[in-house]
Amino acid sequence: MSWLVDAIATGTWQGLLMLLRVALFIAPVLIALEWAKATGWLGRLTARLEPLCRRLDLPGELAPALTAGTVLGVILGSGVVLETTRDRHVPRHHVTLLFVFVGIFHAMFEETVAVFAIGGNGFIMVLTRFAFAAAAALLYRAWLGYRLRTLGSAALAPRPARGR
Amino acid sequence: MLQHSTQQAPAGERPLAVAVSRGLRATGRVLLDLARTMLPAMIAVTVLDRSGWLARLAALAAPAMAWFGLPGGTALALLIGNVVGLYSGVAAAIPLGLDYKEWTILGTMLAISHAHPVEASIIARAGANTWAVLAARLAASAAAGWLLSQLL
Repeated sequence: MSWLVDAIATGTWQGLLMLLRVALFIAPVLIALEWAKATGWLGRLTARLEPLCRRLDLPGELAPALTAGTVLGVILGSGVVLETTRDRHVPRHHVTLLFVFVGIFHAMFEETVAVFAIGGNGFIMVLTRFAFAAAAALLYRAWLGYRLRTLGSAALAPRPARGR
Repeated sequence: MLQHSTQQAPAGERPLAVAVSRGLRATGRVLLDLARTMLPAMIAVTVLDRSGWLARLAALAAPAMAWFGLPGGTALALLIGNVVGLYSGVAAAIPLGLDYKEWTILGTMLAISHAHPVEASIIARAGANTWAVLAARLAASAAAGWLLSQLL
């Protein structure tokens, strides 16, 4: 059984080393993100993302959620969506469309740096993720349009994302 | 520097100091989370590796993983990553000794599609159709892996 003890020790040691490495890479990114939140930089980025929002046929109200999702992650993006839908009517299919994009392309700084820390190419990763997120969102949008045309809008009265 | 930024900051006083303290706290949370998810995955895969089971699993999965230009052992990393989380999946691949290209492919696939039980419930709470999002992520992950294996 000595091999088992040895394997557990090796795994723990290598895991701790990797933890340290990832922490060294991630700490500056998380500090920068907090700084961006505290100084209002994120709000300015939201204005920049509005054209992307329009391209995806998303209502402008979801732009802050798109920013939070792509920059900070799925959990915070979801929180912003909940904030948005609290007092405004947002159709459910728009929220789904948002998350088709955000699900593929989110936490762009943290996760990219993490993959870079363990030895991958973060640049290729970000490009690929963005391309596939855009492609998936456009495909889903096209499908929504097709459904609308074939079934007619009466069968598809937009369901609200909240209050079901 | 801090005095200067006090006057300009739209939100809160001394944004840099606030950012450093909040960022370090966030790093601490991520580290705790990582320790909880990475260490067990690495220990498990190292034990599997030493016992010879990883090689058997890898041989089974090798034909499928060849689609993505990855060695068979990464199937376990993909599985763990999709069920538990990105960092667990990455940790499960560390004992395999992947090269630069393989890390890029695996990292992209895992970054696109990971932690489905947790993230799906979050996405559902926001009011989206979880199944559409899940299908898009799985398909995009596989397509991206194949594309990168052809291009790189």
